[in-house]
Amino acid sequence: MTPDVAPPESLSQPSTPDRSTQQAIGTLITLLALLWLFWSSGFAWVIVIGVLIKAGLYAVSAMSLNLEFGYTGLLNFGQVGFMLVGAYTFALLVPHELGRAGTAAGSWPVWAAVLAAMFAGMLLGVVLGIPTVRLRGDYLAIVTIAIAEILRFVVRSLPGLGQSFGVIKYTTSFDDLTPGFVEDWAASLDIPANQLWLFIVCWAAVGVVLGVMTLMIRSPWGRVLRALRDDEDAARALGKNAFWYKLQVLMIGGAIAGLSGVLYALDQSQISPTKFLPIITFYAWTALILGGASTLIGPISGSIIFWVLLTQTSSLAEDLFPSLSVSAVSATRFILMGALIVVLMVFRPEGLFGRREELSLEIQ
Amino acid sequence: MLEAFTSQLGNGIVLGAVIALTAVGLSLIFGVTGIVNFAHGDFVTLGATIALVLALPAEQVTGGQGMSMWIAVPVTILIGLALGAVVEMSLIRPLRARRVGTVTMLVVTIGLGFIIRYAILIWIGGSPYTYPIPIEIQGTYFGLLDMTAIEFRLVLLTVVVLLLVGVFLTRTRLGTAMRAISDNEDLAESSGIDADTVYIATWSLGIALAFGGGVLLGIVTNVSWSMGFFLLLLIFAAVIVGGIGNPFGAMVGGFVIGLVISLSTALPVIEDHPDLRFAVALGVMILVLLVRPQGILGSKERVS
Repeated sequence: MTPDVAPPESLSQPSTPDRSTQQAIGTLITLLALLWLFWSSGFAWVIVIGVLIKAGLYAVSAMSLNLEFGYTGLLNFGQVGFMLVGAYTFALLVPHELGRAGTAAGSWPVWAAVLAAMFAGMLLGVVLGIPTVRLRGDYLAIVTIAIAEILRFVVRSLPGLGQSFGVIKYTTSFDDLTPGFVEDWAASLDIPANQLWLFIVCWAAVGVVLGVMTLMIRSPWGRVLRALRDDEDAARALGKNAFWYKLQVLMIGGAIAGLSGVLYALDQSQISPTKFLPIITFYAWTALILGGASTLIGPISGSIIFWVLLTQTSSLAEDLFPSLSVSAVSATRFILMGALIVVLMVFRPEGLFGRREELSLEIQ
Repeated sequence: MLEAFTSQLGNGIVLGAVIALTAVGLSLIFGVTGIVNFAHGDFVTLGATIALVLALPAEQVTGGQGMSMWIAVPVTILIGLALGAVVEMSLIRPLRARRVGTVTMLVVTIGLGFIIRYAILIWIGGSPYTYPIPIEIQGTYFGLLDMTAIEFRLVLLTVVVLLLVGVFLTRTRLGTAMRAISDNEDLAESSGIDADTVYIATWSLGIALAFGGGVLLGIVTNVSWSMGFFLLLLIFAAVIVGGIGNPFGAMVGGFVIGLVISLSTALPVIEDHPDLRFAVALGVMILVLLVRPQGILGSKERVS
């Protein structure tokens, strides 16, 4: 077992000489990504809004991971499990059709179902956290990824949850809430009104979660989290209950992930077990690492850049290598994503916006 | 009833052999280098794929060589030994020199896994393949185990390989050096053990065992681009159940997980929903973490 010694050189040498230059560059790269999205889609609003919905919902998911990993040092590799719980709770409570038979059920209003989905995510955080937060970081990583897979197997097997047919037509009551001005606006942009409505809701959620995160991180409570991340023994010596703080983080992070699961469900017209593969977790992780963990804006910017890269590189690859088959093109994107993870972690673990001094990459 | 039991017992032993073989490698790499190798499952797929491409003729798979399995499999294992050394020397050692933390290493292996998995998808495509081996009828061995003759021989071979690994770890200089570094790296180095050599040997052995496990899994089921990623969680389960960082525990844990998966099909709810048997295996892993986090054969100090 190698002893985990903190790298002394990275502590003494700041990663960038000037914070504001770094933030300006990060913002510029995000804007360039948006520009690329407009240009490569031929200024088609349907494509642009579609990509930005994904960017928004994964930004929410990445912000939840940021609270857990970036600020508290907890490795959650089962984010898709939280999203699954949120998505299914929402879809099964609002009016929907279930399974092969398409049984109609559900009567909850949208707002109540969203709250229930967040509560379900929080509950999963408790269930998962109580046995695991006492264990070392890499154990938590393995257990979380395992629980996400268990949930997927359970959903695939239980008839009450639609099995492999899943749940459909749960977006109707959400679409019915579309305000009149959004419909007019969508008509002028020539895109479906429900898509523009989901785009607005997604980014409103990003704004609200960002606001809550800012308040939490700047509060005394947030300082305790960072203290636990940087030196758990010291924080405990000051009388802080590490177990309870970490559990709170998993509960709040779980609720936010449940919300991102609702948005994910609304972006899909149907949810089924195959929509909740472990790769969803790694999308959110890549967005977080790209933008920079332990920063408020990092996960949002990272999610935008990641989704522009993931969706637009395939059209680039099709243009450059017309001989490649469709499946090879999409596989190339995942190879690119893997390479991006490796290169970022090795050369720039702080991402676009982060500070290397703030990163806690040692297992406690 | 008894027939169902012997058939499931046979399946469990075969699956257990696959998991045990691959879990030993994961456990050794974790114990010696401290890295949780999330790409281990994809190395399993890579081994199965290389043997497939060597064994099938070119008209059946891209780049096929059409070798006999008797040559293709040993060549695959040799490639695994070499690849392990390459991974250690070209990727892991530079990172270690930069004093990169273990969590960074973990995320790097996730990225590496993506690269391997989707490169295989481009290489052989999305559909499953079978090795050029004749299909056999199941027989009963020791009056308990239902398996085909080739499965029976492969299980015996796996047990021999695992015993040899055990002898290597306890009786040879390099093997004891591995266990010494796994216990306490500073103490081992100060008593004259060359850590760099041990790291190379560990990755070589670990990846070669993963390749062997991949071929075994490919023979008893089939070869597909995502076979190993799915196996990865079961390998983790075996390592944790057996005791993390303890290669002998991983062997035991592998067979335990294999048997849990196959025998749980007899449970009332799972009978109707066979997918849930994997959930049971992962549940056993979580239960072990709860009540005995050091595993069956692990020592307590590693956990906290």
